[in-house]
Amino acid sequence: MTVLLVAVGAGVGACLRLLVSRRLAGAAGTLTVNVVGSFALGLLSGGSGSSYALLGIGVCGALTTFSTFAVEAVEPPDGRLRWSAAYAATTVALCLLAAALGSALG
Amino acid sequence: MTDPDLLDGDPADESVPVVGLVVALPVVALGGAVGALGRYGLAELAGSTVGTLVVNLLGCLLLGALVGARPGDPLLRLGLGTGVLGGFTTMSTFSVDTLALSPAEAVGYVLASVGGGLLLARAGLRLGHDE
Repeated sequence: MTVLLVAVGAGVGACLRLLVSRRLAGAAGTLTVNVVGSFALGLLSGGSGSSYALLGIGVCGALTTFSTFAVEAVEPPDGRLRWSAAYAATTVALCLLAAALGSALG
Repeated sequence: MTDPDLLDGDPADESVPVVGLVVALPVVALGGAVGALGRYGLAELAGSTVGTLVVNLLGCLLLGALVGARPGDPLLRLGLGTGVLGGFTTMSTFSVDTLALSPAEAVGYVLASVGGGLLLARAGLRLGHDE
C-alpha cells in the first residue's frame, strides 16, 4: 500500500515540476520547486503513515530535484563559475531556510 | 540572457521540440513514480539520510550522462530526465534531513551532497559527450 501511495504522489509531484518548468524555464523554475517542496516537507516532517508516504515521500520528494539542480549548476548559462557558486549557495540556503520555516510552522 | 531548459524543449534550439502536455504529463508521471520507488527502496535499505545521499549522488551522475549524450528523442529526455531521475533525486528530503543533524554533521552532509553531486554531474556530462 505504501508503495502505491509513494508512486501516485510522485506522479503528481513530477507533473507539478514539469508544469512549473514550462512557465519558468531553467534554474528559476528548479529553484522555485525546490524551495516550495522543502517548505512543504518541513511542514510534514515528523509525520508518518500513509499521508506522509503520499505527500512527503511522493509529492514533495518528486516535486523537488537534486539532479537537475546539479546539472544546471555545472552548466551555467553564462559559462561563469561565479554563477555556479551563486546558484548552489542560493539553493542550499533557501531550501534549508524553507524546511526550517516549514517545520517550525508544522 | 536565455535560460535554456536542459531537458524540456528548448526555445533557443528548434531541433528540440516541445512535447504537448497531453503526452508529456503521463510520461513524466510514470517516470517520476518509478524514480521515487527507487528512492523509497534505497531509503528503506540504508535509512533516509544515507539513502538520500546515495540517491542524489547517483542521480547527478546519471542525469549528467543523459544531458551530455543529448538524446534526440524529446520523450526520452522527459521520461528519463524530468521523470525518472527528477523523481529519484530529492532536494526536500536532503533539506529536512540536514536540519536533523548536528552542526558538524550537517556541514559534512551538505558538502558531500552538493560538492559530490556537482562533481558527479560534471563527470556524467563528460561521459555522455564521449558516448
